[in-house]
Amino acid sequence: MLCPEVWDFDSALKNTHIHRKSGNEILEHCEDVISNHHLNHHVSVLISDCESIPEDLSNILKTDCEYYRVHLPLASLIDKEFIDLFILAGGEVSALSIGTRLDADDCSAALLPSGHFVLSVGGDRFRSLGIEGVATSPDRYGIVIDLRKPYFKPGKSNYDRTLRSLSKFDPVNFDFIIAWEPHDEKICPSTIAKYLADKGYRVQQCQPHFEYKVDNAVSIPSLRETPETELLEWLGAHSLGVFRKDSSITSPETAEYLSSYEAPTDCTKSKKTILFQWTGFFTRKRFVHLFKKLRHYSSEKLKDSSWISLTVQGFMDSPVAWKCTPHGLYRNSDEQYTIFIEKEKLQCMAVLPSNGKIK
Amino acid sequence: MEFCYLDITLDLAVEKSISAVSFKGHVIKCVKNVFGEFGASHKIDVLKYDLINRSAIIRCPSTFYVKLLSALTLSGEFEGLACCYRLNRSSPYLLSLLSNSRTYEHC
Repeated sequence: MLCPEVWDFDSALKNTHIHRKSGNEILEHCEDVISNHHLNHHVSVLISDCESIPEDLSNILKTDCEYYRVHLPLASLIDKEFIDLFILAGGEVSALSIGTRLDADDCSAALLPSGHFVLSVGGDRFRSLGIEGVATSPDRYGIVIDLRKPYFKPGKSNYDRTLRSLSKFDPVNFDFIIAWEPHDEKICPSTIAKYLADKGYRVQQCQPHFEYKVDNAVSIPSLRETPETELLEWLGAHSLGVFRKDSSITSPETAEYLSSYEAPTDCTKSKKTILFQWTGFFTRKRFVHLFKKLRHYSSEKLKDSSWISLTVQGFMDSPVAWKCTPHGLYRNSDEQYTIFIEKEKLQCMAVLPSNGKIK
Repeated sequence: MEFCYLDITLDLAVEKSISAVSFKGHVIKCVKNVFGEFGASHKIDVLKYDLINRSAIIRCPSTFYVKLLSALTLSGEFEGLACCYRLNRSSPYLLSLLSNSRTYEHC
């Protein structure tokens, strides 16, 4: 008989890998990565060396970035009038249920800018719903409904059955965060909030949280020489404030006892490093715009040796990560991407599911 | 070496501030209680420590992650006070600990 394994426990966390890309067609790849990550929660931008705080960059995700918290039933998101007004007319709706934990609660729902309504439900719930879906993990099912399909309309059996099932859903109402990017700049994105408020749902406007930090004389690792794991670790350590002077560390011996972390060896000293961080709910279009601005800034004002990083993270309990691919239960929101922008060069590192692709 | 990063908080029965050194000492003691000298010989780093909330970002080798977590879960006493460790977030990427969408209040 084989001896059971009682000592080696593999970390269940490691089911993702870093996909690093640079060189040819990198611009298209970066744009693909940005537009395929639909539901974004946190973004941080690091400028490794600059003279002053670029005001135009700091304001970019502050103005017109409101989103709405709405208490509504699932069935209202597949209401024909809602689909016609906000999805089929050319706009992009992003919505996500909040307070619904993917690993513990029965249902998590999202509406993607691509027009897909996605549900992640437990086994019992899935069987009682009677809607087509696929198993995503043990006793967990993913349901994807394409709201843009011409046959998904009242009178068709598929639509009627889905509406009937969602109308019977218990609990009836979910808390959603919702944002709308209209197809026409003249239309105000708050139209969706007015529509939902007129329907009698409780709507609350939310603002992204913004903060920035300036650090002087920071050792910045080289993008070309540093391995990706070390580079991302350094970026994480810097963003979390690991290198800032801390009152808990009273002497070099204490610092040595607490941590053996060593920054990458190939570093250059920067005069001033700026870190912008925004948290809330952002549509993918915002990042397409931000990416353009950052590239413009890098070509105009960035020093030759310095770089900019753009890191975007999703929600832990979102039913999807990239495109419509289901979010693994043990992956938290590890699926994220970091784009490094140099004066004339781009580099993208995306954390993908093991053996997974974005497209 | 591959690492895992944990964002943990030490909850105590009585409000008390603890230094970073005592915090790390307790983490190692917890590991030693369950896995002995061999377990305690694994490298555990306290990258960042918040004195007020007694929360820390710690790093350990990926292969030791499950054992560290079990040792922290089984700990129940800090210098005679009832205690427990709360895992806020864990990830193989330090960058992931920048945000926690579960605890974020949208307003």
